[in-house]
Order: sequence, then C-alpha cells, then structure tokens
Amino acid sequence: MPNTPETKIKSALSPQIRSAQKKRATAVANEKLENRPCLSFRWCVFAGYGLLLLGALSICLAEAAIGMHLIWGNALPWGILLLATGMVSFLISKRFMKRIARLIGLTRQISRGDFTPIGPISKYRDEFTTVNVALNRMLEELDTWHTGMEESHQMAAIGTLTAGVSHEINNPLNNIMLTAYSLEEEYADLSDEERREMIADLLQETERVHKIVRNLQDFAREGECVLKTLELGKLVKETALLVTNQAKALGAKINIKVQPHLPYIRGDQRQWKQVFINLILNALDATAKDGKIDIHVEKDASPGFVAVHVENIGAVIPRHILSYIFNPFFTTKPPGKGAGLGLSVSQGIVTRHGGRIDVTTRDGRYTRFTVRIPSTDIAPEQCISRRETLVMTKG
Amino acid sequence: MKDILKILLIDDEKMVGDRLKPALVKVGYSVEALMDPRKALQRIDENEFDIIVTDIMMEEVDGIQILEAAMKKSYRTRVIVITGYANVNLAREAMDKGAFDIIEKPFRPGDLRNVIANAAKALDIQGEIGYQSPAN
Repeated sequence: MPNTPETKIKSALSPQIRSAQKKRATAVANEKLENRPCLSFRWCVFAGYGLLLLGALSICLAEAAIGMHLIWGNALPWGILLLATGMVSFLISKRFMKRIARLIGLTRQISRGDFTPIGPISKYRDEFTTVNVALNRMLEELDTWHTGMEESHQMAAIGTLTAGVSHEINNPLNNIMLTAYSLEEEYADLSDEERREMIADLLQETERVHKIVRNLQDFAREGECVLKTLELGKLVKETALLVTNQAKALGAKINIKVQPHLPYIRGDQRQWKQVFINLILNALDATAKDGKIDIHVEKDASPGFVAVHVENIGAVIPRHILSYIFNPFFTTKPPGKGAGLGLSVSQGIVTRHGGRIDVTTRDGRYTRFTVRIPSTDIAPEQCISRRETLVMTKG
Repeated sequence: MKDILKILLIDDEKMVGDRLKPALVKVGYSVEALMDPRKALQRIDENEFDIIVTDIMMEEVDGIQILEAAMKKSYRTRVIVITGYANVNLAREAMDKGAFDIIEKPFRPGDLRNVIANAAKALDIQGEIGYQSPAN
C-alpha cells in the first residue's frame, strides 16, 4: 500500500472508528504526517460501517514552520530578555561573589593574627567601600589591642624566666664571689700561676654573666634595629639557654639539632625569641619528669622556608582541643599558671613575619609544633629602621 | 685524739669545689669535692660523712635525692643545701626531708664555714677539732 496522506489518515482514524461503531462521532486524526506546509483538496477517504461520514478535511501544517513562527513571533524577544537578564545577574553576582570571596580571605588573614590594613575591595565607591572603611578601623583597633596583649604576655614570660635566669646568673656570680674571696684570703700563699688562673676564672665568669644578661635584654628590651637578618640556629640556641634552668628543675632534657648551612631569616629578634620561649615553656609544662624535648632547625620542604620543629616526646594534646589551642585565653593550665596567650601571641608574630605555625600530635607518642619562616638572601648586619619595619610589616 | 670532720661537697660547677675545698681544708676539715652527683650517691653509700654540702639543681640527680640518700644512710649526717635562687617550696621540702640549713648563691667562703661550724656544733664534735669561726 502506498504511503500517501490518505492511507495515513485512514490508519490513524481506524481506532476511533472501531470504538465508535454504533454511534455518531467525530473522529479526529492529529497524527504528524509531513513536516512541510500544504493545503489541498482530497476525496473522502473512508466511510466506516454504521457511520455516516460527513467528510474529511485534511489539514497539513509543518511543525518547523509553527516553531519558527513562535520563535520569531513571541519567544525570541522574551528569550533575549531572559538571556540579557541572566547575563546581567551573572555579571552582578560574579562581581559581588568576587568581593565576598576577598572578604572571606581577609577574615582568614585576620583570624591568623595578620592585622595589616586592607586595600580597596572595589574599584568604585559602593557598599563595599563602607565595609572596607569599617574593616580597616577594626583592624587598627585589633592591632593596638594585640600589641598590648603581646606586651603583657611578654611581661608574663619575663616573670617566668626571671626565676630561671636568676639561677643562671647566680651560678657564675657565686663563682666570682668565691674566687675573689679566695684570692683575697689566700693571696700570699698562692703561686703566680694560681693567681693568674683565678683571675682568668673571674674574667670567664664575668663574661658568662654578661652573656646571660645581654640575652635577656635582647628579649625584654626593644632595640632600635628591629628588623634584622638573623641566624635561626643561633637564635634558637640562645633562646633555649634562657630556659635551661626551668628544664633542669624538671629534670627534662632539651636537645637542639641545627642543620648546617641554613639560609638566614629576617625579622625582629626579640619577637622570634618570644615565639620560641613560648613553645619551649609550653613543652616543658607538658613534659613529665625526666622528659625530653627535641628541637630541630632545618630547611623546610617548601622552597624559600626554614622550619623549627619543637617536639615533645610523650606529651599529647587531646584531638578535641587542637582547634582551640591558638585562640586567645585558651589554656589547659591551672589558674595562675598561664593566661592562655602564648600560642595566640606566637601565631600573630609568626604570621606578621610571613610564616606559619602548625601543630601535629600523635596519640601517646608526641606533640610537634612547627614554625615555618621565610628565608632571606639579605646578608646580616644590614639594619632597617623602625619606620621601615612598620611599613614592611603593615604591607 | 681529735676527729677530723669529714665533708662531702657536691656541685656541678667545677669552680665551687676548686675554691671551697682549699678554703675548708685550710681550717682543718677533710673535704672530698665531687661534680658528678651520681658518683656522690655511690660515695654516700660507701662512706659515712659528717657533713654533706650539696647544690640543689643538678642534672640527672638533684640535691633532694642526695639529701634523701644521706638521711637514709645515716641520721647523724648533716646536709647543707646550696640553692641558686630562693624558692620557698624547695626550701620547705629540703627542711622537711631533714636538711640542716640552706645557703643561697652567691655566698662567701666564710658563710659556708659558719654554717659548717654550726652543723659541727650540732654533731657535738666542734670542740674536738678546735674550729674558730673566721671573721667575714
């Protein structure tokens, strides 16, 4: 049978014709026949049993044409409008999202203790400009507050160190006193060689006191040259000297390993000493009698950084408090033993020097604090003034 | 026959022994000066000393452990503790555990000689060695 429109209509109408065998009905076929426009006269193609066929109208409309008509007639302007609206909203939301992402980044920076004033968030004056101004005002206040907190914490650290340092000073002072009195009492009975030996002892012990005092001064007093090129290994060793007696009193041992030929770092010596004193004193507080603290100074895996690891064997920080330990005023020490500022202040100092401080703990084995510090190619002995320091640290 | 007061002097600072030993020998005491506190524990075990002068803060074995060992060995022994800085708790602990006296660094040789003289008096042998406290 040829596949003409008539045969197609007939086959399309047959179900309706069969179901309406004994009643009058209007049968409609709306099959898709051809996808091209046409208008033509046709013969009646079918008269079913018991049905009175009045006639058949064959209407052929091409779907594509209807589609095109709809698109060009109505849908296109709406579509363009929709697209334009979508694009405008996309651009606006992209612009907003970019600024919001920047704000989120800034809050992270602030939470790490970096209170450097922020540059403009938007190119033009808008709602974000107000947020910008408010944030900078807040950062200024935070910086003032943080500096005060650092100073008060530094005073507390000096208090803790004083006991240890006074012991450290009293030892050589005692040697000086005993030697000087012995020299005075036994002068006539001593040989020249013995006298010279005693004088050498006096000089050596005086130098020892001088070194301890100078070390403490470096920590306690703000010198004129704040930003300096520093030898990290030497700095860590000097800092550990300040807490030798706290360790001795506990029976704890501090082992320091410094990798040779390390690059220099740049920063404020006093502030770096404060960071390491905080870490070592914390480690000592958590150390059992006869415990061990390992300090490793080495090149970090990240290029351009040097790392100091302070590892406390046997002491563990419970996992549930790990995320709080850098928060100000968070402490696990009994009242009067610590204000909970040590790690928070240290984190602020490390961040301001462009570094990072992290903690890892392994159940029952160790707790390790790692400080990563950017290295420098600037040779030592080149001092930068306080003013320049401020410019550098505040970005 | 006069007894010679036997003194054990323990301090990990070499100069303390170097200066105090002659200063005490000069006035008639028998002095053994040690820097290693572990060796000192061994000597306390082997010998009975009249007076032990020990620094309190030393690595590995501290002055309190020396004091305990000395008290365990002989109730007669008088232990004088030297401390780098005055710590009330430490002083109380030392006195509770039977220390005779505490001397704070820095001190003069004469200060220690005075305390030793008092300890000797307590041991009731001061007269026998005929010791005169030197003027400071």
